[in-house]
Amino acid sequence: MNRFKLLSALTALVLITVVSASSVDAQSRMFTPANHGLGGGGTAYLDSYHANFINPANLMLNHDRRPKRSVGLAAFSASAGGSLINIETYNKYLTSGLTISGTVADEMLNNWFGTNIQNDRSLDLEIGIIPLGIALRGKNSSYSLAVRNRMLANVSMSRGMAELFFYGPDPEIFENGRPVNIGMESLAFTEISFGYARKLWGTDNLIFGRDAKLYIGVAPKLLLAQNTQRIAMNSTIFARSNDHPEGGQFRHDLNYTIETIGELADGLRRYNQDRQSGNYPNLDDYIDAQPNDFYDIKNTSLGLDIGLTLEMDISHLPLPNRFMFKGPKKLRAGFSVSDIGSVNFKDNLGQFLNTQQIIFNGFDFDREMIDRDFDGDEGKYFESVIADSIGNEQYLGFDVNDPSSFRRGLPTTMNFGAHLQLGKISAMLDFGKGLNNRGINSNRAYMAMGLEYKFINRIPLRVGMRTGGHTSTSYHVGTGIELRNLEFTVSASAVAKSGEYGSGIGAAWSGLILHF
Amino acid sequence: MKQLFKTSVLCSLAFILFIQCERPSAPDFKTNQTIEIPVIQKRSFQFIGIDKNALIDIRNPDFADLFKVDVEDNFVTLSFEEDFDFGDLEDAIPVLDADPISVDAEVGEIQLSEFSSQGEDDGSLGSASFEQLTGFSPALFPAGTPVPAGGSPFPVNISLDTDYFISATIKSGSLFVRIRNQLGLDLDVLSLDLRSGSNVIGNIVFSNLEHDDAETQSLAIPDGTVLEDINVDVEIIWAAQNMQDEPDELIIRDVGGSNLFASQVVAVIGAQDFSTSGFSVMDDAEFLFETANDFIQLNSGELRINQLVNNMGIGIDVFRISFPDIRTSPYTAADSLVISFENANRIEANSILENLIVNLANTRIYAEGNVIDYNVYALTEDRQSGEGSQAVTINETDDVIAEIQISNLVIGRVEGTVIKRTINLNDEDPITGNIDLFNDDQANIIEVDGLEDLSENLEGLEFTEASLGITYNTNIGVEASIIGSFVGITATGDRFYLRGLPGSGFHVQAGEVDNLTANGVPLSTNQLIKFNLDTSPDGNLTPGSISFNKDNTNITEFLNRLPTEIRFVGVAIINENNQRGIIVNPVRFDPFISVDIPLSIQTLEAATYSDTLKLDLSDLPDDDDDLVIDEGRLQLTYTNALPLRVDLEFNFLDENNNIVTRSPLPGEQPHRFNAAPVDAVTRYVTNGVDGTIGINLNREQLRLLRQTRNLELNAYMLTTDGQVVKIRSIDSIGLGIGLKIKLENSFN
Repeated sequence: MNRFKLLSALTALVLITVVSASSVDAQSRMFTPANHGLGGGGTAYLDSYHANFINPANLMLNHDRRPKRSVGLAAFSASAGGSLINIETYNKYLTSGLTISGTVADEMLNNWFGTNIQNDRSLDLEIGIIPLGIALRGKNSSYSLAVRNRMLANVSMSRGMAELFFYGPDPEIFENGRPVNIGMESLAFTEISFGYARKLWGTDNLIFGRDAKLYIGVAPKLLLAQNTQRIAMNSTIFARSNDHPEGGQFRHDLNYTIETIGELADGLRRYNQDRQSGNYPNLDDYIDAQPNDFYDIKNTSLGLDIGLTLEMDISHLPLPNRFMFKGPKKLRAGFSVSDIGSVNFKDNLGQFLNTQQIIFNGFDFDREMIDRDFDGDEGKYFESVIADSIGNEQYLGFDVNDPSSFRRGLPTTMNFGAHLQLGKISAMLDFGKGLNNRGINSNRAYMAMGLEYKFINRIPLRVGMRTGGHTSTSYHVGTGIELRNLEFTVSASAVAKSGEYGSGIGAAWSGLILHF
Repeated sequence: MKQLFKTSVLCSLAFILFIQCERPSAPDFKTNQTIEIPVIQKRSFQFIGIDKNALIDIRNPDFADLFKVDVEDNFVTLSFEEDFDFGDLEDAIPVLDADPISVDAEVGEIQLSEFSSQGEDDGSLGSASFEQLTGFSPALFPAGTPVPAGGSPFPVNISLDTDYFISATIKSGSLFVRIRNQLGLDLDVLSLDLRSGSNVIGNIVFSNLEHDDAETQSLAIPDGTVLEDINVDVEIIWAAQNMQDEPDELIIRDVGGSNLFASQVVAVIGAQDFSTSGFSVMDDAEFLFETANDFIQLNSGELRINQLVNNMGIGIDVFRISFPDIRTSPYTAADSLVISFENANRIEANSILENLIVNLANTRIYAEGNVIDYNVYALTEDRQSGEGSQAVTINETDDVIAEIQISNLVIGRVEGTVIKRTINLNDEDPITGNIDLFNDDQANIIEVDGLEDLSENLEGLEFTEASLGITYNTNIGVEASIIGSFVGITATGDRFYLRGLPGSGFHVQAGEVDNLTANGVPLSTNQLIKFNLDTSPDGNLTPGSISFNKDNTNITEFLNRLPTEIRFVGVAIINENNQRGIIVNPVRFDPFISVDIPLSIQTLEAATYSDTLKLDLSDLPDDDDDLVIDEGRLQLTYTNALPLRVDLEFNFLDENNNIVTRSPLPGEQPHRFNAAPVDAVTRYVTNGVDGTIGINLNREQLRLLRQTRNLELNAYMLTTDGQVVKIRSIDSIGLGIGLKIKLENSFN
């Protein structure tokens, strides 16, 4: 009974944490070749110190199969893609000599962005490097330590931006206004994760299984903030035809925020001071990012990964037991919430805000002023209007905030997964949903499934697919070598048909993993 | 084996899955962008204003003095005024010379008065004693002693002490002798023979000369008598009487001349005065002194005494030459010019003075009949007034001579009759005497600033009320008329002449002038114009003006061509009718040419304005460029409040000025600014009209456009309904420019 109370309490804790995390921001999935090759799941499968980032309860898995200790070096994974990278639409419209105009352009943009002019599409990127991971497995509890460097990035643009590119500021398109939004965010930080898992509950019989065990794991992590940048421009462009009774007009309802740190923030502050003092500075002269802006530790905060895994033996069931099915037969189910928490930045932060309506009704051809201020050179005047009045004064006429901190929520994800092992064959199925869109995380639900066959018990052959999330359905393969004491695997993924929600590619490298 | 088969199947499945993944192909597409933006905000440009945004900014030095705006109705007049040098009228001042004056002042007959320095009543030039004259011993005849009647036994000669007189050749007059009787007895008769040396000149008889009396008797001296060594022989006769006093002597108190004149003397003489007079004739070729009030006033000039020679052996204490016709300020008759040598400047005996100059600046010459009179007066020194003076020899023909010249006369003012003559207002050819309109060294040239662009580019506009005025200030006080030629030259080099209309008074008759040419060809009468100048009544600056308008000249035609250069050559005819008048030096004739072109215009046919601008469009995409401009439209949105309809034509020219393309294309509607309506009476614009002009260029035109290096702009202007319209400063045109282009961009 006490165990059930404990289980209930932990479940509540997880849910509260998830809800609180979703109210801020959230995070994405950890890839190793083991789960990436199977479509990117692994909530009930991925063990060892990797479990810190997927489901810490999995630290308890395979303690009877592997040596007690594992050490991993130099693991790497990268995944990029997103709805913006729509290769199917690209190949259809932009590779066959078509002129993108009129209905062709409309059709293309509908395919790419959807018909809603508010839609936007993104390109997402996540890179993870685990220079070191250690796991200690025990019968009743396990421990691990893992260090992971992460870099998350997103670039997004709205349909209006694409329309601006393909149509130009055509009043037929922009007369009633179109959102023209772009965004870019990057986040770089390092995690030092401490994993702990233990058996929470066990029973000999559970439904159709035997020797059922429920593991719980938690992996608090120290987050070392290194760098973040954010540009978010939400704007609307109106273009009024020259035939309009009131004459032509180009209007840009502009609203953007730039958040940056370090020398970049200082440079933008100096630029703003010079601009406000009446000079006409060149922004390029103030952009001089320093390397330490990217690797120095700016602040620390805490994060958490937490999960439950249920494991039961199903070898007594009437299942095939010959050939590839010969061997242990287990069913596992897992639930985890990963990447709870946020990366906080302090010191030398800069937030630059600009909200204004920019209206261009044409150059005001004030001959008096042109002669007085520009020696009669119309070219200089036009350049000045564009570069100074519109450029410096309006587009770069931002206000400066000096926030005490930037808080970037981790790409939190809720994951449900199952793993069925039938001898050398195993199948994996995961469901999940991100609670934000940071990195490759997506609040679009995903499903990942995969099949693994361990050739001669040493060489895992993995295939998988993943649908939903930040791309269209992707297909994954992976292989490598897994010996009792040594493990080295790789995986890759790609999208076969990106028309649905964009393309993506990914790859993972396990580095060198030693078990002893 | 089976396991290997399974592995192979799984690997093949994985491979097939993976190669089925999408891969992007090379890009190959075109975008077709439409860029439609306002380029220039619509802005109203007032026709004339005080800022650069006016079509004509009258603060621009080129325009500042070019436009006048009526303060009441803002009507605009293109107006400019230029200083204009019509040439040098200094030749209107007559040139006068006076004949040289030779003065010869002879001393003439010499008057002899005093022969002695002793006094008349107390002098003693000589004496004879009682004993000499009576033959009695004075000791026997003390006072009161009776003396018997008797006479001098013989004449007694008395030498006279005449220290002032040595000799003289007498021409006329008398010699007086004063005697005092101090013999102590009364004389009945005293007979005196005046002797020159041993020659008896004559006899003087004194009767009843009582004791202690003095008496003077004169003796006329015959002409030609030579007096020298004067002495007398004296005899007396007395009656019996008692001695009046103690016996003494008979004294010759004085001897001298009484109106005694000599032709030659050797003497210590007193002051002699003499005088002469004469005249000099002034040239009457250019100026006549017809009345006593006619004069010339000199700015400068000199009266030069080249040589003044005193031929006498005596100095001249006073020597004066006076010119009653040469007067100094205030120029009354009492203000004659007098040249005087006296006191310290006295003329020494037998002296020569040279190069004596008298400044005649600011003097006037009243030479009635063109004759200048002069008078000479001289007074010799008085040798008798000092002690120890030496005798001098003077002949009556001794003289003082002088050579006097009035020269370098620069006339400041003349009042009288200036003789008619024709003077060239420009430098003439030294050989032919002609003045050529197109010889830059001879013609007067006005550059009309501000009209160059208009003149070069505008044709066919008729200014209906144009006029050209010459306003001037002059001090010339005699009739003067100018015959000359104005030629206007446009920026394109066209030439046209201003001429007077027949019967207007500005029309030139054949033969009135013959030395004005154009490139060597004599100017014809329809290339000439004549006008008279108003005269100054008193020689002070007086304003005058001449107006050339459409009623008296072809000025409208002249100015419609908008000359950027006006040339002039001419002659001035001074005092054509020989009237009395005034000329003051400097002769002031300060003309300004004022051109008024009220912007009251009319076009019966479209006036054209053409200009070619540099426009290098080589940066436009070429045929190999990924970017192609598919269509271009420049949209002009206007509000025309000018009474002009303007059709625009753009010709895009290549480097050889061949047309690359044009807009509008043949057959297309013109790019037209419609004219604003005008009031039927005032002819001013009543309201502006709105419109839009679209200048469209198709893909083919745009493809060619990059060859453009110059843009020829032709504007064809018509006044509203082809009627007369008037333009005000507040008339305006509002103009906004928008651009619409379609770009085709290839990506491959």
